[in-house]
Amino acid sequence: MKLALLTMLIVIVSLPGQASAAGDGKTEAVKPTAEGHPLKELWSGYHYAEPEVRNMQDSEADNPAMVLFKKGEGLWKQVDGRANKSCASCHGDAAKSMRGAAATYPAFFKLTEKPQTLTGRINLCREKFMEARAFPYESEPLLALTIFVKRQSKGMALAVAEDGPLKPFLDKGKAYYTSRRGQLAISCAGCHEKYAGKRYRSEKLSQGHANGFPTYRKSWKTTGSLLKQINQCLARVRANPLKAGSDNLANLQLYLASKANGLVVETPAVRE
Amino acid sequence: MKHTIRIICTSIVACTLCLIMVADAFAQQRRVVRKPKLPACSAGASAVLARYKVEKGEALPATIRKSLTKKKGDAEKGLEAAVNRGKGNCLACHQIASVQAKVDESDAETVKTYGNHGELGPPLNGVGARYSRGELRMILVDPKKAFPDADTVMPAYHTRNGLKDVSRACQRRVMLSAQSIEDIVAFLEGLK
Ligand code: HEC
Ligand code: HEC
Repeated sequence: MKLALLTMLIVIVSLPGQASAAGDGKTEAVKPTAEGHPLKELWSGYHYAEPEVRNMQDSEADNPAMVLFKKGEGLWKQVDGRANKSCASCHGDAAKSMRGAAATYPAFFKLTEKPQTLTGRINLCREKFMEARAFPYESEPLLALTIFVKRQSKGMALAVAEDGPLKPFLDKGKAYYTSRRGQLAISCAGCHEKYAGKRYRSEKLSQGHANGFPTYRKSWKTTGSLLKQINQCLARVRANPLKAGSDNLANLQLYLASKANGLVVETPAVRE
Repeated sequence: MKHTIRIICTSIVACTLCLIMVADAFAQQRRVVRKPKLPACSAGASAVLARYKVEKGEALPATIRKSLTKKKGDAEKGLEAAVNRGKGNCLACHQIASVQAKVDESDAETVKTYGNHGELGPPLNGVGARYSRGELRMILVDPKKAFPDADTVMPAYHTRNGLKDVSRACQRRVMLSAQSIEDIVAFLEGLK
């Protein structure tokens, strides 16, 4: 009986995971999504981008965020802090040790009993194990390391845990995502679920997935974090920005990731 | 001896003056940098709320028959407020053929001002024929009352009912002044 239930569970869990995990970074759609998912099909922002933008993302030479990837590669091996360690001292070859890590983040963190974001984890390792200072949010080294670590999972399907200890945080993230906010009183879902593919003034709305962050946005003329993107969306509806390291942000990131389960990691993505 | 003392005194005075000036310059610079800068909400935002009465409409379940202001709406100003990104920014979601017609593709300025129409709401061509003046006013003031079943994303431009998590700079403000609402209503009435 238990075995039957377990098999059923495995089948259910693996159902939406039909996206290509070929490792080429090209995202196919996840369709159909599991029952109860607010979107019938999942499409990466890549799908809504113009061919010229997609080509930029696909070419390592033309993707402007690859400069940061290279910097991240250097930082991975660079000794820093009082413990005289680098990331590599503990984790060795990132291609092996970090493969798949980004696909499961944010993850439950036993110490705080909260969801932990990948960026938060990098800074935690720096402070706790390297005895080095945390990198400021949105700073170049933090973006670089995040891109470097995430890219080790490039092309792998997101597989964030949806049950277990993360469930209450996921529910909070979903509540944030679906409630109207700001002077314009529009929810995240209001734009990204109802109107994906339609234009909001000059910008074509996507389903608002986080699978490509940190992302180079042509309109930003720089590479930015997911928080930067979310705060731009919040400013659009004249709502309060989220703070780096806040519970609200971690919960929202968790919901965004779980909602996109099955789409592949594209980091670093390029968008308009 | 006297001469040396005089030189020393003069240099002390000069040095002190110079130091004061430098310190002052630094302080001023710091004052500029540290000046607390609250972002302005937006060009159109207004802290003054007009009172209005909601009645039953004809084409819509709700209408506001009485003007929000004493001054008559000005369609030309209404057009300006409707396209302005810091005011109505109606083009974020609506297409309006007569506004699109103003775009000269070779002129970046007109493209920016009158172009790039969004697609979240229905095109506004002909709304002046579809709705009464009061209903147009209702749609702008509080569209959730005008379209109660739609779960609409259209923002309410002149009520704070039900708003939450409004950015600090925009709190206690509505998106458009009563006069701007009247101006835009006059503009929409002309879309026949
Ligand atoms: C008023 C409309 C609007 C609202 C509300 C909104 N966004 Fe966005 N969002 C956009 C636009 C426009 C873009 C840029 C086009 C795109 O990539 O979808 C965007 C992009 C994004 C992206 C990047 C997608 C990609 O593929 O790179 C994410 C992630 C995102 N939004 C998340 C959110 C979250 C979370 C919220 C709520 C806090 C939110 N958005 C609310 C309009 C909105
Ligand atoms: C964020 C999106 C958005 C913005 C901004 C917006 N609207 Fe709308 N509007 C809508 C949607 C969506 C509807 C349709 C109602 C529904 O079903 O939700 C609508 C409906 C309307 C209608 C009724 C149209 C019809 O044919 O029934 C009028 C008139 C209108 N809007 C005028 C305006 C004006 C004027 C502005 C700017 C001052 C504006 N809207 C700004 C989204 C928007």
